[in-house]
Amino acid sequence: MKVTFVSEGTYPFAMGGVSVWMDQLIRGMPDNRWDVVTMTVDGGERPVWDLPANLEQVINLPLWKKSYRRSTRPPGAAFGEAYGRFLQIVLTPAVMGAGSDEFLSVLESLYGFARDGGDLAGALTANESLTQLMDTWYWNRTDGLNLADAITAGDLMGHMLRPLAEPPLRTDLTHVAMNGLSMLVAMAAKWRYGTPIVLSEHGVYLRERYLQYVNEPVSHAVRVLLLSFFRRLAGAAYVAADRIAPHSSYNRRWQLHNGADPDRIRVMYNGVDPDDFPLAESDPEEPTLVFMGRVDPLKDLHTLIRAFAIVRDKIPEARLRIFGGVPTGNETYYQSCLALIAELELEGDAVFEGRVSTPVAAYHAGSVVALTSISEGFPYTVVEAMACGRPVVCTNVGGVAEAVGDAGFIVPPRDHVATADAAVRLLKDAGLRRRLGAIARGRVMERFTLQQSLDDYRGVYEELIPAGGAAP
Amino acid sequence: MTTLAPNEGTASDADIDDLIEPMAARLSRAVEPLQVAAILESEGLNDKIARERYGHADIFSLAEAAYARMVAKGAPRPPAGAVLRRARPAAQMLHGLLYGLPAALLPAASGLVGTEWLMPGLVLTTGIGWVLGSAAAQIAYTLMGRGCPRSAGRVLRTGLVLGVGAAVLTATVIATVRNGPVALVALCVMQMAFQIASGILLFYRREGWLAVMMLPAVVAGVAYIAIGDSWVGLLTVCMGVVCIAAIVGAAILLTMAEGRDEPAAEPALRTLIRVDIRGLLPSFLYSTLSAVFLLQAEARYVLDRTDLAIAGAGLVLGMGILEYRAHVFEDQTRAALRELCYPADFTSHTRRLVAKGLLICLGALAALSAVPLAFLWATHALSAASAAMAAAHVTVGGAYFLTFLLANQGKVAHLCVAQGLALAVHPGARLLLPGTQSALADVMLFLGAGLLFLVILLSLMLASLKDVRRYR
Repeated sequence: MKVTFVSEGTYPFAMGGVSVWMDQLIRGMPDNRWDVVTMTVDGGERPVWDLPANLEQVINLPLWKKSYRRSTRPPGAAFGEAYGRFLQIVLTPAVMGAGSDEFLSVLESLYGFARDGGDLAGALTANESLTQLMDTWYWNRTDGLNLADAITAGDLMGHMLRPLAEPPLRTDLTHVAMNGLSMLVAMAAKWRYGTPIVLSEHGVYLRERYLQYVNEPVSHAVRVLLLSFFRRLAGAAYVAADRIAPHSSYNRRWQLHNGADPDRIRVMYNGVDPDDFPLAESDPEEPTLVFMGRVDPLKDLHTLIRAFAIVRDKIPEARLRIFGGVPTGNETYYQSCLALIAELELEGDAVFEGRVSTPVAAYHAGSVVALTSISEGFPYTVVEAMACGRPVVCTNVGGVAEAVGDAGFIVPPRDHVATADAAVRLLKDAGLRRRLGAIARGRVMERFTLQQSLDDYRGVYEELIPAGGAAP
Repeated sequence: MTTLAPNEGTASDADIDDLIEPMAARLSRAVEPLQVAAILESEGLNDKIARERYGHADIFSLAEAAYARMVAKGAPRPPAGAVLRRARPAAQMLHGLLYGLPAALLPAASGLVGTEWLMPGLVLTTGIGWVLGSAAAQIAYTLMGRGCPRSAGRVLRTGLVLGVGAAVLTATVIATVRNGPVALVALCVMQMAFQIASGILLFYRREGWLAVMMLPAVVAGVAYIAIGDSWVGLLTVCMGVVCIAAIVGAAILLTMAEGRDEPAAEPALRTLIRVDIRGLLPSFLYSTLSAVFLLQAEARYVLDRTDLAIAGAGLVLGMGILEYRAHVFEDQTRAALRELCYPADFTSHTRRLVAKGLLICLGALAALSAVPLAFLWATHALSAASAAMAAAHVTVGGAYFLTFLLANQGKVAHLCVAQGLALAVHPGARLLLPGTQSALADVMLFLGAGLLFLVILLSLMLASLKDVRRYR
């Protein structure tokens, strides 16, 4: 079977949970041949993974490259008709995904325009399209949209719709690692060749865009247009996908709320290889709280550091070790963490250890593993720590509670006092740590192994492509 | 917080107000209820809390209620970001005068170098400095735009070193081949050093520094003109050398200081430049063509028709006004994009702005050109040719205003073609047509070339205003 594997900003150009999962899936199904399509920023990205032998090609699809030539011709009546419907649907409030079928058909019309040589990105900012946008906006809404907003929104949507202008790949199946723009690649292959689609969702793409655009420096009107577009795209993706695989039941709620057909949904959990994460044989000499992950505002390390200040007041010999790199762009956040450590006089006791080559060393270095994120899908770091037999203290976001079950403590996000209380309780009680650690290891072996994850996906593939042949 | 029993009904408005008040800033940016649900979840709320505390079926239902409450209360949205303003009246309008400050030293310098060497030396270094300085500045602006201030500083420093090196080389060759004085090399080096270093100070918006550091030399130059003593002349030249050395030192320090506090490392300069260099080649070509166009028209008169050489001085003095008016136009178009809704309105509005800006520039240049013409009249050197030369410079100045606007729209290739056509008229036609050997005929031809240049650019500009997306 030949599979096209599509994602945005991940494998093989970036590290992170989704990239780990994609690499696992490709290597774990050596009988399949794979093409990877990754949406990137400008096409200058280089792979940071060793590519497996059954990965036949990697297609870098830059969304934000500036050098595309824009057509100066008016886009024409056919485009105008499709774009008019596009705008009307985007600016209509959706109830439980109503109208997703029609939006999917509009996207197909736009794909047809691009396939026939039309400049899709340029058409969205042509004067005729800007005029259409104004007319539709003021027909539906009373708040303000100016020309600058209209150009910005049209330009951004033009970049985002770029996958529709690429020739679709002909393979047996398209597996999309996340909803949103990646689904455009899969839709095009389905329209052109009838290729079935499996849609995985680690986090909830729409929810992440909602949170991202709270802080994006754009006007309210641009925010309305883009988020309405993302909402409509997510709904259309659920209609187009033959199987939907949320990586937690938590994600499933959002999918159902946006119109996904429950009969197509199969919850699939991330899995780890237990051999790669052996049980820790002993505790560190000092009571140690460990964080493992990238230094990022979404991980809310400020709450962790504040919680540790309380922990150290109660257990003076306690240590906090933060393992993980600082991604480009997050340097300011890293500096703010260092400043908070200094302000709380935790220097020497709360330490950034940097990137580690083997995460298992980080989990073994702690008595307790903490994750204080404000947004997560189904994080590997929690499952890996549990596989090592470490009890965890985690915030109740995404699928974290499903992963942890009764193998640790779940606390509200942004609540450093609750985090500290749970950590102190675990650090002071070796018996409780051992008991929860054993439950954690057992829970991983029972539900979250790599083999189970691979078997689940193999089963879904075979539902759609029986016996390695063409789609039914 | 109020806790409701399951059958107690949904939360009151007051309960919802209590819920949204602590996160009002984030919620005010929400565009629809689903985004409110995402924000509530990121703050730790979930279906269980929605049911138990607020009597709603789930977080989505609670988000609907919260969004409806915000709409009913008319919660204020955060204001749009301030519009960037580039025009700085006093500083930018002074640029021309600042560029012309070394003119105060010329009488003293000509006493040392000799008039027959002074003007050719100045024309040569001005041409080389024009091309090199503008190329370095364009690369530096591009690098600043990509967030690489240290690399931008390096490029500017390199431009300075290359410029001075080129001045040494060419002046030495001329002095050797044509038996010129050694002082010619010193003059060319100082002129080039001032030209590029002053450009660096203006790049970093240090107009005040430039004025203050050059002031002693200007005072000395004026004193020499008043006194005429050769020792004062020598002292004036020495003062000029010291002042220019200080300006060069300040420029180098500025290029080294910029970006020093930035935490992130910048990619290698070679990598950065490789990305942009092809796109900048048309800009380099245009700089060269425009330098050739203006300087070749003046160069032939610097030795024996000083009246014609100084008749165009109004353009140098008025360059800052052109630059300022170009920034005003940019600011006004950005404001128009935020005030208007339809592309057709934008086009008609901005055409009026172009006409207004062009008329102001032509008027200002005409007024400034009256100064050298008045001087020539007072010294009985005013002629039809010098008046035509002043008119030609005013016309070319108007065209330069339009080149700033078109360059901002990325229409540099069009500028090259327009400048090429103007060059075909002057000096091109001069070489082919009989009867253009007289100064008046030659200057009239230059005026015709300037008019052609202006008309072509105006046509391009009026057409460009139809493509609204270029004015984001």
